[in-house]
Parts: sequence; C-alpha cells; structure tokens
Amino acid sequence: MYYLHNATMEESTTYYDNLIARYLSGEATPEQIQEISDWLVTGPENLAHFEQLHKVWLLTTRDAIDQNVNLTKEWNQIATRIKTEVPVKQMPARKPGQKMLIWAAAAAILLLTAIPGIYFFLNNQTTLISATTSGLIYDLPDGSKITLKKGAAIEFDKEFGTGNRNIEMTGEAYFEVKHMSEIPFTISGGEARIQVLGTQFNVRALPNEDQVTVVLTSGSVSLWFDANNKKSTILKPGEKAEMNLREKKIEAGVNPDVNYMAWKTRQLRFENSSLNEVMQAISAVYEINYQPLSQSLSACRLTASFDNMQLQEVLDVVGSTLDLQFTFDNNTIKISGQGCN
Amino acid sequence: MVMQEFNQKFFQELFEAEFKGLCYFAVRYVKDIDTARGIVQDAFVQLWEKRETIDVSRPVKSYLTTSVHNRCLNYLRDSRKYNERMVEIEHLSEVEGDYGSDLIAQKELQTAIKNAIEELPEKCKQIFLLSRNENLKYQEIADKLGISQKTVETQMSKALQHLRTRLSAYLPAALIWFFLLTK
Repeated sequence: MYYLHNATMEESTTYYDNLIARYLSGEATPEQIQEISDWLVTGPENLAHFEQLHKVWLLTTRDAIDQNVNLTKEWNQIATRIKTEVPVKQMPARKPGQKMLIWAAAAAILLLTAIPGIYFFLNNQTTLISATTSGLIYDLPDGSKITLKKGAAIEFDKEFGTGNRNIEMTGEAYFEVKHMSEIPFTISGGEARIQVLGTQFNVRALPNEDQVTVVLTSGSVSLWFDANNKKSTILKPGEKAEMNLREKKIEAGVNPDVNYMAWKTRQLRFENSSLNEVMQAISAVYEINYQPLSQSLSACRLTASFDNMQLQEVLDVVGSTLDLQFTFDNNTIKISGQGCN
Repeated sequence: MVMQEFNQKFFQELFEAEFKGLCYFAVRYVKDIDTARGIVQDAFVQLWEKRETIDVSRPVKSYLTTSVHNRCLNYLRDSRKYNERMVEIEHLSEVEGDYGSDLIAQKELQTAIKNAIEELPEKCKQIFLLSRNENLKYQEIADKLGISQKTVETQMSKALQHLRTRLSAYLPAALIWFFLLTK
C-alpha cells in the first residue's frame, strides 16, 4: 500500500477514508463523528491511519488559513464591533482635489502596520482616539474640531456634547471649539485644566514633559490646576501659557514662537532665526531628527518663509542660503558646511 | 493620563501577532475556517471589552488561547459535534516533529506539500483546493462544478490518501500509545 515513487491515483478509498475526509473537512454529522471515534479504538492500525490523514490535514491547514484569513478585513470587523461610528477626514487642501477620507476608508488601510491614521476604540464608557499621523482632523460630537499631531490621543465619554464637554488628552492638538455657553469645554492634561467657551488654540501635553503648553489663536481660555482651588489664569489671543505640572504653576505671556502651529499648517516663518531654531522647527514639522550643530554652524542665522513645502525643498533653500549640505542617515539629518563665523 | 497599560496600540499589536495563530488553534477543533475566525474575533472583542479588568502583567496570549479553546468546545457541544475521544486523539496526533525551529526542514516540507498537491489529477486538485483554500462546503463544491456530492467526497478522500502517501516521511507516528493506554 505504501508506494513512494511515481504514485498513481489509484489509491483505493474505503468507507472510513471517506468518513475521515468528511470529518476533517467539517462535513461529518454528529453520528458520523461517533462512528469514526468508535472505529478508531478497535485497532492500532485504524489509529495510525487516522493519524496520518489528520497530520496531512494539519500540514495543509496553515496554507488554508493564510488563504482565507485576511487580517485587514478581520481588523476592520473587530474595529467596527468596538468603535463608534465617527467620521474622520484628512487635513483639507494639502493638495488640491485631495479626497476626504472618511472613517470607513481609513479603516481599510489601517492595518498595514504603522499606517497613518486615527484609531478609535469604544468601550461602554469612553471613546479613545489616537493619531498615528499628523494633521488628521477629528469632528467631536458637539461640532468642535480637533487636529491631532502624530502620537496625540484624546478620550471622552458617552455624555460628551450633551452632559459635558470634557476631554482628556496627551500629545499635541489644535482645538477649534464650538460656542456653547451652557456647557463649558474642558481639557485635562494630567492635573492641568483648560476651559473655554468657544475659541481656537493649540495644546501641547507631552507625556515626557513636565508642562502643558497652551497657545491661544482667538477667543479666551481659562487655565487652572485642580489642586489650586480653581485659581485660574485667563489667556488672551496671541498669548502662550506654560502650565508646570510639578509645581502647579502657570506662566503666561506673549507667544514668541511664530511657528507653534507649523505642525498643522506646514507654514514656517523665520526672522533672523538661529540655525538651531530653524532645525528645531523643521524637525517638529517633518517629524525628523537632526544631528547637533557644530559651533560654527550654530552661528548661522536665517530669514525665510516656507508655505507647505516638501522637506527637500525647504532644505534646498536653507542649504543654498547658508551654503550648507544636508545628508540623510536613518531619518536623521546631518548638516555640514563652513559655518557662519 | 489617557493611555493605559492596555491601550489600543497594544491591542492591535496583539491582534497582528496572534490572530492567525489562534485561527490555526481553533480550526483544529471546529474544522471550519469561517467558524474558527468568528470564534477568534469574538475572543478579541471580549478581550477589549474586559481590558480594564485584565491583569496585563500576565501573558494575555494565554488568556486568549484559553478563551478560544473554551469557545471551540462550546461550539462543538452546541452543534452536537463534541467527542471527547476525538479531541484527545487529535491532541496526541498533533505532536509535531521538530520542524518548527528548523527553517531548512520547514522549507523542504513546504515544497513537498506543494509538489504533492500539484501531482493530483486536475479535477481532484481543484476539488481539494476549493475545500481547503476556498473553505467551500462539499455541497458548494458540487454545485460549483456541477458534480455530485458523492464525487466530491471520493475526490477529497483520494486527495488526502495521495498526500499521505507522498508526505509519509513527514508524518511521525505518536498515537499508538493512545491505543495501548485505552485498552
């Protein structure tokens, strides 16, 4: 019965062979399963026979699973089962005619590991949104908009928009808050609290920083720490506040950094800025590292503005202005040149 | 702050790393890939819902495996297909050779499987692949090819016999002990 070479297809199949094949294909009835089970223990040769067919079935099962299980599809189904239905669109007008991405489309590309997108999760209580790429705009249930920077996450509960407008966040985000005088809009970054009635501002609450930074574009916001009996600081447009989480102190003043919103707008403005400042801003906007500058390079200063340009274009301009060369090494920019002494 | 130990990133990484492996684990019980992945999906959804009460210092994979295992047995019971002896026999039969760690042996095995399937007569191969790789039921294959269910049954059986013959070198026996023990 065991011929290994030039096997022909004349192997005879017995009643039990067919039954076992049925069983392994998921076609056997409860009665047939019992029949196989009983037959198997009537002799070791039956067991040995079953074992070989079972092993063959196992050997071809991994392939079968690879063919049948599409991880992207499975993930989307899981995501649908645990998330809220919320529309997400990508930052508008980066390229003319760029289509808006709604959640369904975002979900379809979500899984190809480290894909840009926003992840949503819902349990009974809260919605958690975290951005894996910068510039994605999220519409909150109350009509407010949040633009999330890569790595930012926000969380809010079911009552958001009706019972409260409370948001917890980490990372950096730009808020455009809809006016709603009856329900204040409150953001928590650790113990820091930022409350608004309707306004536009940028919040940075990075997990590795001891402070929450707020820059106000328009309207007004009130800032406080829970520990300080709601003693609050009011911020005016164009001002920036640094909320020190350790000392529970708030320092407010004119915002000196014109590029604080560049991660969102990709508009960079430099006025006699040091090369260090320039590289810092570029690094933040294009999510790239740079090697520390030599002393002679640090002396270089630049006046220029860039409006939504590609990294390479920006570097070309900086390089030809200051006579510098930029090389890339593993997502890190290396800068070389004579310097500006 | 916002992010917990068990956050969505962790959940997604877990999903990517374990989903297919758990499908393989489940299909060994339920014999049907659609059923298996439904069960694994349920286990992941439940894991997410219970994430706040799960001790993440312990391996979440073993939580998932247990969950899938129980769901498989429940499914078999509900569909009256649970047979304790079969579960036990198949469990013993699974004891694999050491191919898992030996990449060359694994590759050789993959080639052998592929060749053995290629050798099947056209019709037989077509039926076998529709059943295994397309996960079609006997009746669906019969309808699709305009043949009888009986033909599908015979051809499936023949395909398995052929593969068994061709791959016998890779099928170490373990079950004989089961027979001796149950005597």
